[in-house]
Amino acid sequence: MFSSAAFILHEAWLNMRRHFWMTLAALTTITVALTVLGASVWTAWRVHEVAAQEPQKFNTIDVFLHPAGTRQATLQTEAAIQKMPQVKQVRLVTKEQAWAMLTRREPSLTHALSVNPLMDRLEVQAKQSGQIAQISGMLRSKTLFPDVMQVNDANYEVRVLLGFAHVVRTIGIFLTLSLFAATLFIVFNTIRLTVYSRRREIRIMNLVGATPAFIRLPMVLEGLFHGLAGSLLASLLVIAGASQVSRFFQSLHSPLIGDAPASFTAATLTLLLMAVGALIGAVGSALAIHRYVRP
Amino acid sequence: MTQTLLYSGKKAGVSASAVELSKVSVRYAEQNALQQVSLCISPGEFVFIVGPSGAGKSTLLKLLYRAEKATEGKVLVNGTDVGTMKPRETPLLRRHVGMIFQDFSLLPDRTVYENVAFALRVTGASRRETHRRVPLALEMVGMAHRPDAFPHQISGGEQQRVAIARALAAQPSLLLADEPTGNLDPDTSLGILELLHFINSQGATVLIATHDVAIVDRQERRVLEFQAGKLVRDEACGRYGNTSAAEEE
Repeated sequence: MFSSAAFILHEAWLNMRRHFWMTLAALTTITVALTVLGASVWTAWRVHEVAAQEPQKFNTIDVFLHPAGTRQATLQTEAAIQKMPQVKQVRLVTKEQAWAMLTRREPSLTHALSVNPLMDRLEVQAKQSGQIAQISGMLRSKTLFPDVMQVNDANYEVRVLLGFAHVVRTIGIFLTLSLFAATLFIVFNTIRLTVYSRRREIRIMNLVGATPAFIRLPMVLEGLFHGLAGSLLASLLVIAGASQVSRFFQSLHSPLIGDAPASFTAATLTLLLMAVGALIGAVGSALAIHRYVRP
Repeated sequence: MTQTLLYSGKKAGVSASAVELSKVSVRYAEQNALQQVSLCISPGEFVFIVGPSGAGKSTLLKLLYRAEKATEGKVLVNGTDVGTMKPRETPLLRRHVGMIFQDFSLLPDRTVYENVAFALRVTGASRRETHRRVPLALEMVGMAHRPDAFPHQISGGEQQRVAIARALAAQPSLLLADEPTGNLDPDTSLGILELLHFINSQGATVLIATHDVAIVDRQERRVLEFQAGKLVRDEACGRYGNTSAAEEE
């Protein structure tokens, strides 16, 4: 039993060495196919994360109060806004807190200033994004809120961008599924090609009385190896590419991409691609060899 | 001595007949490859199967190693009905039936030794058993001096000897050869035939499908002649042509 297992492993290894160019072709094709798939999955996931996160960000209205106003006036305004039925919650960021944050982020800038020029700010979160314009209009009313100096809300362009992100997310899911099917097809055909190139060997094994399992196993192991090695290489390429792309977007300080949480980690991507690679490698070779191994 | 070692304890002679066909027909779509063929070959016989291309010679051999199935009739190999055999039993049948082909069917990227060893290893022989049997088989066919040569480095006759060694290594009781001399010159063909004759003298049943008039006429062994799928002649000591008909004239 051990002797047979060792022979099968040895045969799988020898076959890959003997058919070096075929192995290389299979490995390259699988790597390219899985890289495209991995990049697509990563992109679709990032777009999904950003699209899921940003609406909350743009449900928020920033209300700046007069710098000359008192803290008492600020608290009264906060309480008044909180009573509005369209408002979900209000969070006060005092000018002292804002100054402390700015000092941490830009110490050279705050060091050059002798006084704190910042204002108290209220972060107002609407219950629904569609009510943003209505709440903003009310907050800008000097009669209702005399202590308010400025109101900043998500503008029209940003909402268009969010709509676009939603479309991109939907297309991304569709593209990923299509690519998955295409990857399966490409890998299966590549493995079929390697099996086809060895049909003579398979015929001889059949004729001398090798059992179908004995013929299939080394080739299924080869398929498994092709799938796993290809997926590892693809993971490395996608992770390297993703890291570069993330760095680029962070350098742009883009409000859309910059600080979305990356829950789809390198390990998750590698495991996903390895699972896909191993599955299509082993199943692909088992299916491809099936027609040549008939007792 | 080597040959005795290789064939010691082999399975020949288990059944009363090595091959038995009873009213066997094989049909491909509209064409009859074999029609109502009945014959019996005893263990240890040496038989030539002759006839023009498409007469059914190769189909007959394929039936015996179960590459084809009879449309009707019964095919027994060493007493086993190969028609009712389960597909998973086919590999076991083939381990008792050695096969030799016109194109030698050697693996080009393996050495002479590896080609023979491969056939043993894929049938589950241990490494030790393989190391014991491969040199014996190579010695028997006169190829023990070139175990490390690749097929492209040896002549056609030598390649056929390696193919025979591969078939012999599994100690088959029945050896089937489909045009074994088809790609060889007359002298080399005679050498191969002598080798097959020698293997037969050690107890194996040998069936040779051939077009080679010279080797059939030289041996004067049992001849089965096929024409359009029908067995038209079964002669105990025959020649390629119909000698009994000539004698009657």
